[in-house]
Amino acid sequence: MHKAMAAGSGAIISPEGYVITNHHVAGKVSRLTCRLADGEELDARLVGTDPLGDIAVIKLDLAGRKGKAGPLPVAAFGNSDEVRVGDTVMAMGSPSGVSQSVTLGIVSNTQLIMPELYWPGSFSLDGEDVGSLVRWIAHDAVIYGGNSGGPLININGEIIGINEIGLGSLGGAIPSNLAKDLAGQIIKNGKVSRSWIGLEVQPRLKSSTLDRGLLVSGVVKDSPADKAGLKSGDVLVSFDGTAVDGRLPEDIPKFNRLVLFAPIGKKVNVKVLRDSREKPFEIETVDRGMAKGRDVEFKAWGMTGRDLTMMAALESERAAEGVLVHSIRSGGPCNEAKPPLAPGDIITAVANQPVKNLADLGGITAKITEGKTEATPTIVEFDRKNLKMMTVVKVGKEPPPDKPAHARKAWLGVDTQVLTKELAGALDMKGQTGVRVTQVIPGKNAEKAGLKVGDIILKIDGTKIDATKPEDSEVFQNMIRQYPSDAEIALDIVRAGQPQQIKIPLELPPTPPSELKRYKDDDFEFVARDLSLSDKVSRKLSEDTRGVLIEKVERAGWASLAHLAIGDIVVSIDGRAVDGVDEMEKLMAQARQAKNKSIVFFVKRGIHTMFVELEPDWSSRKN
Amino acid sequence: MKRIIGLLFMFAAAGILPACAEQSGTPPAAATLPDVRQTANLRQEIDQAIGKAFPAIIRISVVA
Repeated sequence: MHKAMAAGSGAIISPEGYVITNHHVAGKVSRLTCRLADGEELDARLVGTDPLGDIAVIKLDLAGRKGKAGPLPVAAFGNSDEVRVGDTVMAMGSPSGVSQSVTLGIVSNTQLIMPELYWPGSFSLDGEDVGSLVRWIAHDAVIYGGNSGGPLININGEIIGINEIGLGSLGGAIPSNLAKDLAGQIIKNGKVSRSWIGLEVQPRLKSSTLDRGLLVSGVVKDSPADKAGLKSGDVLVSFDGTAVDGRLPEDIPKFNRLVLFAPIGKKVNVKVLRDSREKPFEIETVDRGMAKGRDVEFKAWGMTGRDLTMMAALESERAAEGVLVHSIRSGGPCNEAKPPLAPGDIITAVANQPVKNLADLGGITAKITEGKTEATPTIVEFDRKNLKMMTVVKVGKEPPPDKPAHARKAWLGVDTQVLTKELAGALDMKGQTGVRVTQVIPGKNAEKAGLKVGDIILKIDGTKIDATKPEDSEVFQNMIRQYPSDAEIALDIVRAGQPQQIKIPLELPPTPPSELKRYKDDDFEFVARDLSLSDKVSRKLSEDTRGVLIEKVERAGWASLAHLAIGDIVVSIDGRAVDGVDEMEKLMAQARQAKNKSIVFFVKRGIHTMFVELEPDWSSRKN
Repeated sequence: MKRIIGLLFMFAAAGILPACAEQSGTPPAAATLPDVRQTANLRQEIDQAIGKAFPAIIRISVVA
């Protein structure tokens, strides 16, 4: 699953550590870290989230506070219904992830909507049209990316909005009365429950002669409103005893709120104008649920999937059964299936067992993969729009890619450059061909035999080295490779203008980096490998240097969050020396078992050394 | 009318007198005092508001 790091803002709203912020900041995260105004850092967990209102509540891990910490500062809510155009307001938060910022402005509009002219297609979050519920408080206190979730406060220091959007130089904040209500539901129930009746409305047409009511633009088939007998063209004038009116687009969210916040299962009386007569209807509200389910990763499949919610099922005109494929990992089992699965497919059965939801798919997957070390070909039935399709997916561990081992041939521990015609002329060796030694690998036979940087090698066992151009750089090493690895060769060289001959026993080359042992840590999301000779030589490390080289660090993984970097050499873990990846694997397994709160790598990075503190979140560990 | 006079007072306080004010003979010195007081009050109110809310504002870093 793709990961990303981001930053937003929030406000502490209770001494217990509840924090209000935006859904688009914290609603779909695997890890949350909060920095308080005084610099104190605390982990937090998601309590619940509401994409439609773009409000989320997180809870600070107060157990992680240091002993001397005092009570949490708490911000109070004001009454957003009392906000007036021209009121002085301040936006607080962390734009662009800066520590903290306050900007000053005035309220410019108390009922901001996104006009269709400039915002075609609405402002949608996880399939929810936020503008159908929210009329923002617009203001000119400067906000920027990162202010999201931070409060807009009035001159009394009270929260009157939660900053969410920016329209040019105007900011838009979710009114605090709405935000407070949503946050309260999330704290109490972990979610926001809403009613739905399947009625779609729009402002009265300009040509309408009516002076009240909202035009019913559509009624979803088999919805409560449909069952009650409402039709397109009706003009709704009252809902649950409250008069409704709709002349402007700004009036729509107000009506939507009436419906969404009506108790679920309530029989609501509505009145409509039909054929110039007022007609009463009774509609029983139902639980609306979310527009889209939450993504769940299935590593054994190389995909993420979602439950089909009632709203998603309605949109796709099907029953709310199956698992909706949301994303596919390139090269993963679903991607490699023939035919491959694709985002938008709906998995309906696996291994001849019906799949109604994520729980079903998880259970079947566990059975398929239990005790297996290799992938299992599995029949999968899925719907692709109107097509009923089948495929075979190899569910389970993917085999490591084949890496052909290089044939081990004779090797001489030197690096060379071609003695070009120009170079030969400059060194008074006109007409000579060969190579110049640029590096002698420490501790190897070439060094032991006395070969030095600057030596010009002209012949091997009396055979001229026919290298005159930069493109001939492989000629010398290719000649060496023709020998048995235990052969001894005689090199004719020129050192400081004097010809000499040196005898050197050849040897086997060191293991190339591609063939060295690797360790992949799926929890911390990095790959390390043993140090190669070339690593040591290129970094000027002594031959007896111990450690492992970090070869890959997944973005936003625990290792990445601790700023472990590609090329780092891990010298020790929690004070214990790491000689190679076997040792690292052992130490990491111990840390995993002990569920250590932090693991400290001592690393070498260039000429620098540093301690890198990895802070795993074992509670979010994936199986 | 009151609003126009108020605007003129603000301009006067900032040392900017529109041509019409000069022509109408509005005394600029009389306008400075209330505006200075208003500025001081606003600063005080902002300080108080920041003092109440700012300590409760946090930066949230997320891995999504």
